[in-house]
Amino acid sequence: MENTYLLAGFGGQGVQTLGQLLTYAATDAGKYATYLPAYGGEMRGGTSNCTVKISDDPIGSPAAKSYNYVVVMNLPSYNAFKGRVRKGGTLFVNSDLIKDAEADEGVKLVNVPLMEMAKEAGSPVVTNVVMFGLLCAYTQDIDLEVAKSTMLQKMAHKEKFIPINTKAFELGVAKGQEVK
Amino acid sequence: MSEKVVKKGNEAICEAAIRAGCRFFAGYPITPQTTATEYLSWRMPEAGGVFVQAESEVAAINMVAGSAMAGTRAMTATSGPGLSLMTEGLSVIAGTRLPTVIVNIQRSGAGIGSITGNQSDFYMVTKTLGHGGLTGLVYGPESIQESVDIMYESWDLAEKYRTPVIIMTDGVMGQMMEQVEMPDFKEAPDLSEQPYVAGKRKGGRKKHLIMDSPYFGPKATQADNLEYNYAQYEKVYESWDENEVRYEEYMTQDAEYLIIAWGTSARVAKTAIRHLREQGVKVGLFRPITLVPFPKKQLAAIDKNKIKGILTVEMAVPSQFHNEVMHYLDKDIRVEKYRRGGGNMVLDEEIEECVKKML
Repeated sequence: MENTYLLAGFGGQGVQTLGQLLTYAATDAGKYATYLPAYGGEMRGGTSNCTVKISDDPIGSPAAKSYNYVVVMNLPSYNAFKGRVRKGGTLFVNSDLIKDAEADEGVKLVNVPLMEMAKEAGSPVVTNVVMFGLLCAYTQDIDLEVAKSTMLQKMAHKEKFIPINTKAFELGVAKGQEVK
Repeated sequence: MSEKVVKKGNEAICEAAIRAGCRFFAGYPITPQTTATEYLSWRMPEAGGVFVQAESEVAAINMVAGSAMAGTRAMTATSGPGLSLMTEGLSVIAGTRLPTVIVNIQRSGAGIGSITGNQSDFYMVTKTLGHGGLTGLVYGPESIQESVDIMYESWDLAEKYRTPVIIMTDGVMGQMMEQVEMPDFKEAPDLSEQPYVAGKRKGGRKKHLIMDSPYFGPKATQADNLEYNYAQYEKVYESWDENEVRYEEYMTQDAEYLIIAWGTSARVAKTAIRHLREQGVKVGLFRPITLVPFPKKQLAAIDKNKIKGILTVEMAVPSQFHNEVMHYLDKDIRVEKYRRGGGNMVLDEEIEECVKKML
């Protein structure tokens, strides 16, 4: 079983951190995982994206043409990647910034008010942690306890954010279970 | 203690260098190598070594040469444009046979080109190091783990053969993260008695020569000594064809079709092979790990009665690796190529399509 994720947004929304968190957590959960950032023009302003693969077996290509799960956090990313979801896959849309999103036939659309949820958790910057919890609960690629412990360990240097990140993760998990 | 960690390719290969006993790095930042330089800027001093951000790649490679002549395990890392600037120094290193390690984290294209991963320095590095026609051992790992493992033994090989070792990764492998098992720390051997090392010998006796040089030898003239010494180098290179060729055969046992690829392209091909195998296509992979020495005999031995078709895969336009492979394959075997350039990655879905077209 191999799942491919594409995570996209604008710089500062934390999609690279989200990709790395998934990779760390999947590895901690005993799976194989790769993280491949798109860099270059994207990193110097504008959109940013990365590809994550999580598998039960060693991973060959760290890249893909289409994905099981696509997360778009801003409109340019939505326009660029909405057509790259595999049939049977899911498109996660940041509905606070992308209105009236549509998904291709055979692709499930999940609208997530990411910024609203992040604010509820206590800070607008934790949208990526909300999404991390949501993805873990939704895809079930990573055990939730492992995911939470990896996230807290990787974010430990931001001590005052620990309760906020915990809340963000839990809100994400609840949403992931709700929309599954 | 060996440990399993999730690391970026650039950081992992640099950490492996530290653990292999490297204590000198000089380099100049260039995408996609920059994270390697950044990592060593703090890690090398922490490990008790010297890190220099040189004023240019020209200076950096000469600093590496100087450090090797002082008996230190020394390295640099760069990408294509930087490697171009290093060629004169590389030529000196190959000519004086200095054990050094150079990591080329390839980006695409000529001139400024593009900053994303590519395999278009294949010819530049495998044909000769700079001017003068000399060479070194060249490795093309496919994963972060393999690049770490090769780095860890690279100075042992460099010192055994008195040669530069070049490790060819690319922007993809440099920037990506995956799990890797890091080896234990090892001590560099005492190199002070080596003929290429300048300075005092043990016991304080001074060496007469600053360093060994191909100008010196048993012959009467400089020209004759150069010719004689380069002929000795040639024997070393020829011995690699027997002793140092490395390659991987993946699912080739019953294969009717073969993909030939190296580095990142090869690992991408493995995904395509797994998918094709699920559909009943008997396809396998032949992957050179050493680019110098190239697995010439192994390629020549591919049986035209067993293999119905071969697909070469590389991230370089115009083709380079493909042409090199063609040189050794049986001319009766059908060979197609799939490549992407400009910094585009090869994709397993496209490899799959190319193989299916050959069926």
